[in-house]
Amino acid sequence: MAPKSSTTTSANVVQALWKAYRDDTADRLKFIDAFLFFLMLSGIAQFLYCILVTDYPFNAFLAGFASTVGQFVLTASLRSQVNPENKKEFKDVSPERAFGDFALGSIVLHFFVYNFLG
Amino acid sequence: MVTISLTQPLSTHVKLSKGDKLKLTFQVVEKDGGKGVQPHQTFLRFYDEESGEEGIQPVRVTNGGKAKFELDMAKPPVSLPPTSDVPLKVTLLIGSPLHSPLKLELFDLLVPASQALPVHPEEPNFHPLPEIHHTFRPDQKMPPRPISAIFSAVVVAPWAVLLALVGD
Repeated sequence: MAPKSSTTTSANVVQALWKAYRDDTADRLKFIDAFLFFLMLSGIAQFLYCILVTDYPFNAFLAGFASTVGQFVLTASLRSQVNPENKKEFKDVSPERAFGDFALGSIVLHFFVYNFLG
Repeated sequence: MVTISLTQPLSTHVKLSKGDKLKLTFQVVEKDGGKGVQPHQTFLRFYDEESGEEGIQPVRVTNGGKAKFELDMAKPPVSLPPTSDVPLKVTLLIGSPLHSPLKLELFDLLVPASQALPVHPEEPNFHPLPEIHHTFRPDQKMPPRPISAIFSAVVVAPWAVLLALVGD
């Protein structure tokens, strides 16, 4: 692609970034990214409720918020381990192994969340 | 000078003012024979019936049983308890392993009132403390239904976003 001129606006830069993301990222990673975005939205929504309205069943807030944050962390680590560009970093972790870890971690997290929800 | 009878306590009070001196003399003798006895314990007890205060004054008795006790109001003995307007009951207490004990009410003694006792710093701990009335925080309430409904929709909305992104 031809280099942009120095008078490029920031909107153009963002658009170029977005286009590069759409074109160059593998489908698998985009799937995971959609999940990450969903988790972020969900966490923000719960946090806003807690701040704006009430934290009345506090354990419920903690459980819900912890589930989004915890799942986000697990999914982000899965994404970095599964990304083919990071193969050098994770030589002894196959993508299947990463997914297995992710699944196990998610089960433990949801066990905690379910019990804490009350 | 007054002789105190052994069978009847004195009818009139003995009143002491600031500069007075009280002198008490007696002899301890055996019941049959009249021989002088030196008992193991001889005390004069000053007792205030109203406040419950009492003081014990040991009295020295010679081998022959003679005893003398002097109370000088200018220099009151340590054994004199704190007093008010109530007269002190004076009792003679004698104890000896060889004889039966003796408790003899002598007379009522009126001395000038002493200063009020200083209150012991731990005194409040010996009475029940005032009752505590707890007021608890009022229970937390749920927010009104419409707000709850709106935020339920807000929290569930990301699922729609996810399905839209994934189902492309």
